[in-house]
Amino acid sequence: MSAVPARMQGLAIFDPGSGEYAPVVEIRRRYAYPSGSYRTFSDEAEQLLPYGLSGLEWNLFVRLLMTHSSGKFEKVVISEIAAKEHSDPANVSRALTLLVQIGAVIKGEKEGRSYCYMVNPLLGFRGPGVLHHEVYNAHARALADPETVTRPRTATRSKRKEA
Amino acid sequence: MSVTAWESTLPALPRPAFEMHDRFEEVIELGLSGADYAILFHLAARMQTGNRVAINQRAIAAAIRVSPETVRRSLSVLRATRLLLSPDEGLSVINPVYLVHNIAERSQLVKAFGNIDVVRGVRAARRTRPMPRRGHLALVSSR
Repeated sequence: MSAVPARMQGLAIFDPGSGEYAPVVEIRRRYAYPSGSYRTFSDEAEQLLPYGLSGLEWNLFVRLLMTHSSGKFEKVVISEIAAKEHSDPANVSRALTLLVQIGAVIKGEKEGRSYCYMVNPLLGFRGPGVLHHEVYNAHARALADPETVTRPRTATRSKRKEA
Repeated sequence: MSVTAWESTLPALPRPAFEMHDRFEEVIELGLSGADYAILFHLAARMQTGNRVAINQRAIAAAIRVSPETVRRSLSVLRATRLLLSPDEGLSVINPVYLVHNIAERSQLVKAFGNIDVVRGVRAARRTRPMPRRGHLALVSSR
C-alpha cells in the first residue's frame, strides 16, 4: 500500500499502535449552510483529487455518500456492492480499505458478517445542512473518547501466512 | 468565556464545494475512470453561478497531478457523456441535472439547459508514436 502523501496528512494520522491511519478529529464551528437536504462535497474533499483514486474507489466513495446517512455507521455488504459494480469482491474490499486508510471513509464495528462504514463528515455530507455541524462534532467527540473508538482489525495477509 | 466566544476559536466546518442530486447514481453506472472523476469534481468545485466553469487544461493537470494528455482525454469523455456541456463560445457548463453550484438554482438551470441525461461515452484513443515510413530502411539497406 502506498504511503499517504503530504497533502493527505491533515485528514489522517498514523497510529503506531494499530498500524492504521486514523482520521483526525476536532470540534468544528458551524458553517451557515443553506436550508434543505442535499448531498455535498466539501472544499476539503479536493484533497482527495491528487491522490489518484481509481474509478472503482471513486464509485465506492460516491455510492456511500449517496446511500448512507451522514453521522451513522451503516452496514456495507461487499458482495452486494461488487455485484452492482460488476467487480470482484476482493477488489471492492481493497478499494474500501484504501478509502479507510486515507481517511475518506471511517470504519465502524462489525455487524453480522460485515463491517459498518461512514463517509468522513468533513469530506462529504448527506442530509439537512443545519445538522452538519452536529453530526460532525458528535462524531469527533465519540472518537475522542477512547472507549468508543473502534479500531479496524489489524489482521494482515502476512500474519495469516505465518499462521 | 461565553459559548459564542469559545465557538469563535474553533475551526469552521468546510464550505460546501458543490451539491449532488439523487440522479448522480446514473453517473456511477457510466464506469468513469479515476481521472474522469477527479477532473469532474475539480471542475465542479470551481463552478460559478449558472454552473459555468472555465477550463484550463494545464492548471487541471497540475492540480490533480495527471498528464495533460490524460486531461485532454478525460475532458473528451466528460463531453461525450454530456456531463460537461461546452458551447461554441463562452464558459463550459456542468450538467445541472447531476451537479449544481447552488441547490436553489437547480430547477431554473434544468429549465434553461434542458433535462439532459448522461449517456455512456467512448474514451478517445491513445495517441500513438508516429511510425517510420515503410521502405525507408529498405532503401538504406539496399545500398
